[in-house]
Amino acid sequence: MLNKLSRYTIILLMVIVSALYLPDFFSMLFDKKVDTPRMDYSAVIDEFVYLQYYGMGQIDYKDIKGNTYTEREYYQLLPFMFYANLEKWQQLPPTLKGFEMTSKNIRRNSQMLRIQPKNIDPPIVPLNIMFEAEGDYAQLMIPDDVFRLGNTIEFLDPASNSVIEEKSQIFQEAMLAAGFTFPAKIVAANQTNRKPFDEGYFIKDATNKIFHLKMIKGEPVCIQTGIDPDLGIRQIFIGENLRKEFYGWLLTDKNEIYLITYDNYKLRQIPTTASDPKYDYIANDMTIRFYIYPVNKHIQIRGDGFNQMIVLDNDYKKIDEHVMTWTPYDKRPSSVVKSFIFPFELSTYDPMQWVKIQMNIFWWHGLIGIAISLLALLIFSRKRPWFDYVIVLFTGVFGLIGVLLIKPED
Amino acid sequence: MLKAILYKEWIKLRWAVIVVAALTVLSLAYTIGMINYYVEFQGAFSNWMYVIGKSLLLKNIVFVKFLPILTGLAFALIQFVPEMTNKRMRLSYHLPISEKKLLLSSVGFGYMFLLAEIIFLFFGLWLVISMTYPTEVVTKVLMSTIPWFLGGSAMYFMAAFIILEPTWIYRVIYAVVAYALIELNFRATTYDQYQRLWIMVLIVAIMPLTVMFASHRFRRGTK
Repeated sequence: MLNKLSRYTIILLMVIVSALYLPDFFSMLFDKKVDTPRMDYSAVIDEFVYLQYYGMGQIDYKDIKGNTYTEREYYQLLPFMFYANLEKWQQLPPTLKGFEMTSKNIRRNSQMLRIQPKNIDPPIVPLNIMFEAEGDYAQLMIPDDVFRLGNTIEFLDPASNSVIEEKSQIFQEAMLAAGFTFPAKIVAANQTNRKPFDEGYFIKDATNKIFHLKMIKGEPVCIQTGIDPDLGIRQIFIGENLRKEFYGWLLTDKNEIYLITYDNYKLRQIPTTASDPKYDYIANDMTIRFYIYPVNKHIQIRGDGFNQMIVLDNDYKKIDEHVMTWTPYDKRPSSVVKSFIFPFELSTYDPMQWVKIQMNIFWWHGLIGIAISLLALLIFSRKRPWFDYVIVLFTGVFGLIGVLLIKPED
Repeated sequence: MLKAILYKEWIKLRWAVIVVAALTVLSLAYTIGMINYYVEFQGAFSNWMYVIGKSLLLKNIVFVKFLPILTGLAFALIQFVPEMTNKRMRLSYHLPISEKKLLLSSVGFGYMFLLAEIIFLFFGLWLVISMTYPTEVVTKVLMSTIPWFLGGSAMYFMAAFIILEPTWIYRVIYAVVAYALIELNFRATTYDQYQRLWIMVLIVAIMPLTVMFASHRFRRGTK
């Protein structure tokens, strides 16, 4: 009895290993590269344009009406993207839609933000640095302490690995005075000194209220932003920019994105849904990019098999939208064949940057693989414990390999 | 009878246990040395930035990462290779003790020392890291070591299983499976990256059962 259990344990371990590696090997051997188009919107012709790679270095530059362009013509259609080259070739128009076209002017009035799945909830050590927001020097000086923000705020001195009592106390009091309820749930900032200035931290407290915390001349400044606590804020991203339109942006549980404006922290939502709900933004699976240009704004939602683009005017009103699609990964020939051969696959890959063992079941295609495996088992051996068939029923070809290699001993 | 079996295992293992105990202490001492070196040459704050932002400690505790797998392999080899040379295991199976008790207690006994090493490393590391770094860092580092300890345990169980298996073809198959299962625990690139650790624990927990099949095949003398 124990011997049977032992054999099935071995077979189970073999199933796990096969499911981790065999589907992957198959993909490695048979996956083909799919060239996807790069979309953009031309403010010159007010139309969506794209470039499409074909193998052997051939690139097509087109607009969605079907017209083709040369590389230089394409660059001229997108002056806000390619201003550096156009300026060098002296092909920048003097103005476009009332905007004076110089490199400096364009740079000053452009901004980009992006949310990828790996930015949303990555594994981090929850210790932060607080910059001096109004320092003496031309660039931001990196401080020499770190702080933790959990049930209290505590500044730590690395040299002695201990709490800096006075500074911690001052900050604690300032936060409590502003109405903060510990513990903090989200602590968000742009923790680098490679930025033009520092706006400190946006923190979600225990009651879901959002507070803005900065250090000015060594003193804490904590402001309750008044941002709606019932939004279901999942993560906040801060990006300081000289345009000073918004401190950053936030992502909600419902996959909405709001800019946190400098106008008393009023939120401004940017559209993340398209006319076809298939292409709505889902944070865990897609990347969203928001480009701000001097004359318009572009939103690009890129997921598996599509690129949805939405164009807004300078007042954030939607002008146009367009989606380009290509075969998503699961529908490509090698993936389809894979789903017939294997009933499921195991992997530890997680786009959110964790190591998470997960199972992807190839429903109903996998059943065919299971049926073939059961048939193979029947043909290959007559006398076999009934449980072997149960194993193959649930694990298909993985179990087949296991029960055939590890013969039962009776 | 059981006492005699365990005493036999102890005679085989005792020098290895002493060496491993020394290596455990040396690993912790090395870790202290490495941490102090980096703090000295980077400066305390800069060092903390590297530890927090670039997972520097994972580099400093590299011996803790590999000691359990090496120990597991060593113990398995020391305990079971002498048993399998010239098929001496046959003698053991004729002793007045059930196959199950014999094997599971031998494996359990050897694992006990491996587990002691793991516990010693865990608490030793806790002490060492807390001397220089705050609790957030300590927690993350300790959580990072759990998959490594699982990997070490997996190495011991699978190595014992492979050695106790009589035929080479099966041994090769098991070795491939063992490699994949052990490697599964070393996929992290930063602190505390594993989720669903309970699945990893479950996989390692069922490994000791495999030795029974190996012994069963040995006793039947099949190819």
